[in-house]
Amino acid sequence: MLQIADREFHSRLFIGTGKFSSAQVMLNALARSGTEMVTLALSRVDIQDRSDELYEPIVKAGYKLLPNTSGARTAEEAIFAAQLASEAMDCNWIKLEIHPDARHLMPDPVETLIAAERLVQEGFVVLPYMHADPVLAKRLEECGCAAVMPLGAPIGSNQGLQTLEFLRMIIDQSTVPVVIDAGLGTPSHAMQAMELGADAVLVNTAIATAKDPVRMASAFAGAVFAGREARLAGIKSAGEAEATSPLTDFLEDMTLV
Amino acid sequence: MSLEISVNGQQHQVGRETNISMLADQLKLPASGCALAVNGQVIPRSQWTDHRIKDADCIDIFGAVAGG
Repeated sequence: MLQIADREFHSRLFIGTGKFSSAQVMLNALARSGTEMVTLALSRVDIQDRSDELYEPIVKAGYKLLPNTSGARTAEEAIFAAQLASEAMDCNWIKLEIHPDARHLMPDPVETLIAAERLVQEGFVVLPYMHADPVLAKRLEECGCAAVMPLGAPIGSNQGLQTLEFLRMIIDQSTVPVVIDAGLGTPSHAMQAMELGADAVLVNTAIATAKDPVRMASAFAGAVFAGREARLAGIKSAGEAEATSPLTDFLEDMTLV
Repeated sequence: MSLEISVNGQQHQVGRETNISMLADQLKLPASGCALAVNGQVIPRSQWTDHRIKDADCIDIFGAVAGG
């Protein structure tokens, strides 16, 4: 079973709650996926209008919350966001994400490391979203992060595992769980991540923007399960042709007419 | 005399003896799912009753929203 900090997870699929067409579709997709942890963001609220209330139904349904620091461009902003999130959601887990560049949404490694160190000291369970940089992954692990969350490709891009070889290094070296986050566009991408040895994946756009998000959630759940099973079964590395049936040496002494 | 404060960028008037808890009641903030900062400092809910609002305070209220 996957363990992050003091928490065990049966499902290795985490889901982001952004971009769904409605709260009900999101809840149905979450239910179908079997996920146990979902991300939420934080925003200044419209005091008059609370029609977009997601928090209560998600909490009632029993999901573990993983608030993010989306919108933060510096370590200082991320720490403030984490403190607000902790207070709002009564939760000391935080998906630390700092991306100052609105175009590519690449995570800032320097600010992320600074914020991670501080948040760990403040008692947060920190899961940093990061580039697939094996050195940074080690540094984040050493400063006490509960997991690392390297990207497969830019957020929302559906490009799959563009960072494959670096993810392989991170998985190989990591002593904390590795959650592949961002860029997984199809169930086969998620399966590939799990076959590679990822401990879990986090998916949002690919499910939320599918024509049928509930069905896509089911597809991702199946892919994550299959990929994990294959990893545990032991995957033989690719090589040259090798017969799968006994060679037909019984024909050798025969004269065919 | 009342106090002029800003709540999420909008001007707001409250009485002199108002604390955060009273403001939260006035604004009908939910019992969970939101957090509040005064002048950039997060005020834990446990301190809302003790935290007296001052003139020209900038109060920001945040809530959980959808996000990945």
